[in-house]
Amino acid sequence: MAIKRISNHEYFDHYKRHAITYMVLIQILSALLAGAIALGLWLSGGVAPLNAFAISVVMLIVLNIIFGLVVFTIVSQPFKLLVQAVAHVSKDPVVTPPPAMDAKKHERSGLKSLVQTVYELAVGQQGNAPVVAQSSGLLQELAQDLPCGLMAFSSNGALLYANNLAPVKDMSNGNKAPLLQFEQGNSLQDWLRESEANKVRDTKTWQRVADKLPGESNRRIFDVIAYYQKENPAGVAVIVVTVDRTGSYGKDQEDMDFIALAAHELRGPITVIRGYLDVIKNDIGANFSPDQRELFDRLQVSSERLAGYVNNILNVSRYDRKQFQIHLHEENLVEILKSLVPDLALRARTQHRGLRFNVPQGLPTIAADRSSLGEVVTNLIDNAIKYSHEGGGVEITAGVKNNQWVEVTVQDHGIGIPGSVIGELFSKFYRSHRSRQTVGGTGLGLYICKAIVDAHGGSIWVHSTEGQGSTFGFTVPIYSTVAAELSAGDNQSKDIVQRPEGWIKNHAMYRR
Amino acid sequence: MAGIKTILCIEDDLFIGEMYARSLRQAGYEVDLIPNGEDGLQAALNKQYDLILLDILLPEKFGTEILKHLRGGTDLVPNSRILILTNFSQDEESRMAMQSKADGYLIKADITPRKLIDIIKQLQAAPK
Repeated sequence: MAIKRISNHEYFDHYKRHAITYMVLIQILSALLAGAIALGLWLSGGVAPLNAFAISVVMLIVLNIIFGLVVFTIVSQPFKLLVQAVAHVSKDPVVTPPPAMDAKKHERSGLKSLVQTVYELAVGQQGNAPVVAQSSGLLQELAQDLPCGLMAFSSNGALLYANNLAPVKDMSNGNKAPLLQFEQGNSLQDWLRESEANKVRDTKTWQRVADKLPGESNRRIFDVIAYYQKENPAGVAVIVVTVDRTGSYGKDQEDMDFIALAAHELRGPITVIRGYLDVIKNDIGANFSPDQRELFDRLQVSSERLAGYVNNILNVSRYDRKQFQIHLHEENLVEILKSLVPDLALRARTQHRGLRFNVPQGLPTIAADRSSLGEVVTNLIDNAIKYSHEGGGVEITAGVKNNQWVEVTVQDHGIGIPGSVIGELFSKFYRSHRSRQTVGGTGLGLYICKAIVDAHGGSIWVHSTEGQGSTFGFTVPIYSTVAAELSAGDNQSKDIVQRPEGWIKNHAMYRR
Repeated sequence: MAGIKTILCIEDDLFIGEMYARSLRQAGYEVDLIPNGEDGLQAALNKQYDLILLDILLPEKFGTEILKHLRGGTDLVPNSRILILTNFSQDEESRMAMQSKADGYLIKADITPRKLIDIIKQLQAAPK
């Protein structure tokens, strides 16, 4: 049978009725008993009526005392249990066990609900304290030893509670603060601000959040789950659970180290092949027959492609592990394209395609990572060459868009892309069924292009008609639109010249 | 300071080291090729080179250690330029090279000897 619940504010009326009933019943019972004893003694004839009355009065007093004690024990029990609950949740030096509230009668009377309220209030009260709450209360004792990290935050992001496994650090003022290295713009605080503004309830998950920077000792990597509730009566806006995944994610780190080492090993022979081809061309290139030149050029193009693939693999590996960084500087797009033309023109020529550049000279400077942007252009032009027809042309154009961006487009007139797969093009390892049949490729190129363009704050797009060709385009910000932001956050030397293959100091600047 | 004439190439890969040495000598530079880190550091300290080409992954002493030794505190080679030439494109190493006052950080697989010579000319075109 279902138990009727009694709310806290109804409890006292309920209690009062019970207590009065007990009192009246006991009074009647003791009076009846005393009366019955006196009557019995008088009727038996052995005792004078006056004596029987005196005995009944004494009996009434004795019974009243005994029954009064019984009634006191019964009616004071809720008070006793409440006192026990308050002592248990307070920081009383004498350890008090929690009250036993399992009996059905407590649930029926509403006392259990009342004691529960005491515990809830206690958690909320401690939650408002600026320091991490110490274990008190049954729930906190349980939470303290959970096999995962548990933290509670107020709506302004202050840490209210952290259990034993929560990643926190001690602050100089004695408080504690969460120790989680979120990505910029995607932190717990960012999400909390967003939720406070727009949500009543929300849940969010982050993966691979470390407590320390790479290279620091005892670094742990977590999956983080956060729950938000607006205006929680206990004062807790966000509950965060952290699951330590260092064991499994640490292996990824080893994989990445393996990729970095493998790339290093691959680059050794690539350096030699590219280098000696360069040396041979320099020494005897002038004496090549046209056939020899074409074969030689193919060797050179292949070695350059190989170097590009290794760069793509390294970049994807970094990007997937959130270690991909770009450094934006003021750059001239025409200069970047010019530095790429010799290699790209050779690639086009060896595959009997033509490159046509339509890039105006007066373009504003852009905020770009020269090396990464060079990889985007190279990947897009390489694709256009691959997917266009023998003898076809590839057009590269650039122009200003919306006074804020410089847009670069790469257009081919080749096989095109079916509409059904166009949305997948920028996914990792994606290649259309048609491209798999006709040309090779790793499916990493467009994925990393998108990552690089995104990192610049721009966007990448494609228009394509199957059988007629494709146009890929991307935007990067005009330098003047982001200059203030960059100069505020850029602590790199201004005398560094970024090159596609690294950086050198621009000593010419010292002339000024 | 005059332009770049003498070059110390600290490179343990014989194919790569000789490739650079050959091309640079053809271009008119004097090149000493040293295949390990410790000897390379001694050579850099004993003779004043205009340019030191420094690999990172070297036997006996890593290029990063050599760089720290030469430029970490007092600049022991104030008249030399130091170009890191490596196939490790780790951001941390590149940043460290920048902080340790190297004059450049280049990925070997992404340059050819001819490009290297262009870069050296770019460096020597400006007084240090």
